[in-house]
Amino acid sequence: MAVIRDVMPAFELLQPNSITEAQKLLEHHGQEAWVLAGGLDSFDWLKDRIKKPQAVVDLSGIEELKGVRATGDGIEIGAMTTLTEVVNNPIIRQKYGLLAQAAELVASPQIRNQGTLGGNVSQDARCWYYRAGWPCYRAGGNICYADTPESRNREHAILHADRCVAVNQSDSAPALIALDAKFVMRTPKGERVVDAEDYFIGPNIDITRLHILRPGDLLTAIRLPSAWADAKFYFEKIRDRNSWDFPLLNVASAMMVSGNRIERIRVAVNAVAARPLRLKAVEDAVRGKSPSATTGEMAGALAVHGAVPLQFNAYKIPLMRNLVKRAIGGVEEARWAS
Amino acid sequence: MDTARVAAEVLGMPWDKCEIVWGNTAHSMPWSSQQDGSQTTHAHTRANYAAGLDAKRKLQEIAARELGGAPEAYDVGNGRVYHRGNPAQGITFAKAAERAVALGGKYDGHEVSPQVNSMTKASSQALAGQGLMGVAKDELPYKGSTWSFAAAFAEVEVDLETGQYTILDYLPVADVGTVLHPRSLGAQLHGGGIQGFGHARTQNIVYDPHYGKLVSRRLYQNKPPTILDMPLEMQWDALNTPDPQNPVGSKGIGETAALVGSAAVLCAIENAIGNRCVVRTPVTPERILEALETEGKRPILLTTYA
Repeated sequence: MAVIRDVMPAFELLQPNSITEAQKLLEHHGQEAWVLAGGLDSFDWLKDRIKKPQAVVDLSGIEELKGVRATGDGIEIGAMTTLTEVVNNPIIRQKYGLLAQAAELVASPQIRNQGTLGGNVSQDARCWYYRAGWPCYRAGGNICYADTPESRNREHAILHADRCVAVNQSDSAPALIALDAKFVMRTPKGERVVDAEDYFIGPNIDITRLHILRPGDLLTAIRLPSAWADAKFYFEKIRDRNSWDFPLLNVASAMMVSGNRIERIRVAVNAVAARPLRLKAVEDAVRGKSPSATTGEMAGALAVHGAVPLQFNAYKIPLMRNLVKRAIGGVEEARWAS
Repeated sequence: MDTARVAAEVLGMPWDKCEIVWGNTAHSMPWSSQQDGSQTTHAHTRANYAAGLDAKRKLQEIAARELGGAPEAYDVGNGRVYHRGNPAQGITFAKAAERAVALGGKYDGHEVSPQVNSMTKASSQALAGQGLMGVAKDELPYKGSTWSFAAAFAEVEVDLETGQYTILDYLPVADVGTVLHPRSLGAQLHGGGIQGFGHARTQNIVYDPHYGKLVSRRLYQNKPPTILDMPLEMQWDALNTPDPQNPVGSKGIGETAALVGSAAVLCAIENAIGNRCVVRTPVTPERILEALETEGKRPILLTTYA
């Protein structure tokens, strides 16, 4: 039979309309199942004919996965809520503005209209070697094409690399970590809730996935506790162009300040490692200090401790240092030298 | 399309009464010259001028045959060919076309100058007999070569801690001879400039040198500029100095607009940070950051790729 190269590989399309049904289908098809949320990540893989799942479980018909609901302590955002809905939601804008800021910086308006919050946090690595279908570690092979003296790796990792040097480029992930979000999953064993930072894993845990979902698992919702509502927030994303771009680096912080002292703080960065990093050492070091440029500088230097650049991504070290500084001390206006 | 205005002007025909039929072999229309090398306006205005003059000459000859006198005594305007001394004495273009068909030969396209391109010849034969036809080879005088020039000014604001920069203002000024169509020229100057911004800032064709494979395969990897990367306002200007090599004094703009856009942004960055980070494009945030971090001492070419 002729090989057709310009269309997606054939798969069985499954369209459940409840979480229970979806989870059962995922469990039944196991390794052969593919979860389809907004499709922005999925269709790249499928149209390139690099990933060829037997069954695609389309979540778009499951109403209980959509929308923002109030809970006893904060809010719950369905995993299939679009990024545009997240950006426009009045409660998120008013109380959890950090997430609204982060979501609004994702890609382009068209992509935010279609892309979902669950998809954004669960997206796969964008390493251009891996994405082109090269048989690397992450793809099940035994080499990293992005980590050789000649590799083109400006977007790759400076921290916690382990054979694979790909990074997580989600914009919403660091904001959710800073907000101490809880990720709700439906697994074969029932509901499972984890802290945002524990949803993501590095290559030392599993080199083929960026998150903890295993075959049969489904991310259903993300909960934001009220503990960080109305905190002082900072989000910044550095990218080559101002629309339709992944981050070279991003930073998110949530701070509770009292009497010019940082009482509580959470800081996270992304696109420096295979998982978004919560900077606990920085949080511990700045707690009790004033949210000033001096504190920020100390925090920035501490944040990049242990960073190891590849051939073309050394800039990420000063960039991370400066972004962490800003996330704590704010942006200083430049002064004219003369 | 605006280059056809020249033929309309030669024939004194109001522009809103003109119908432009593009080169289309399905309608037996000939090819035009290629649109490249930023020479389109130069070449097409000359060709339209030559063909327009040929049509005018034929109209004058037909009027002289019909109404007497020398062809030179007649002029054209508003769809009529008329006597210069007595404008009431004349015939409509429609009537002249009818006479051209009756006369045949060169008047309705059955005979054309041996100088014209064989494609034009085939086309005129296919269309012959339908009306009066102007068809000619551009044999207008031409000395030297024709180049367009532009100078551009860009203002950028650079974030010294992240390497990101914003283009605040942009003003290209073109020397393209007589301005044929101001709005179209402005759009080309800005549109080309925006392309140039992309060359300067974000577009990059990246190969892995070991495997020889393209890795920036997609438009999210080799990044054209977006509307959010543009200055909020842009101006443009042109010298409007007629070029002696062209009957209407016009020259092309094309590539000049893109090149000057790229160069202006690079000069502005260099001026802003006083550094050599702009020796290769695109100048992405990391190049600026590395240049600032190392105060220009680090060999930039070894730490970035293009």
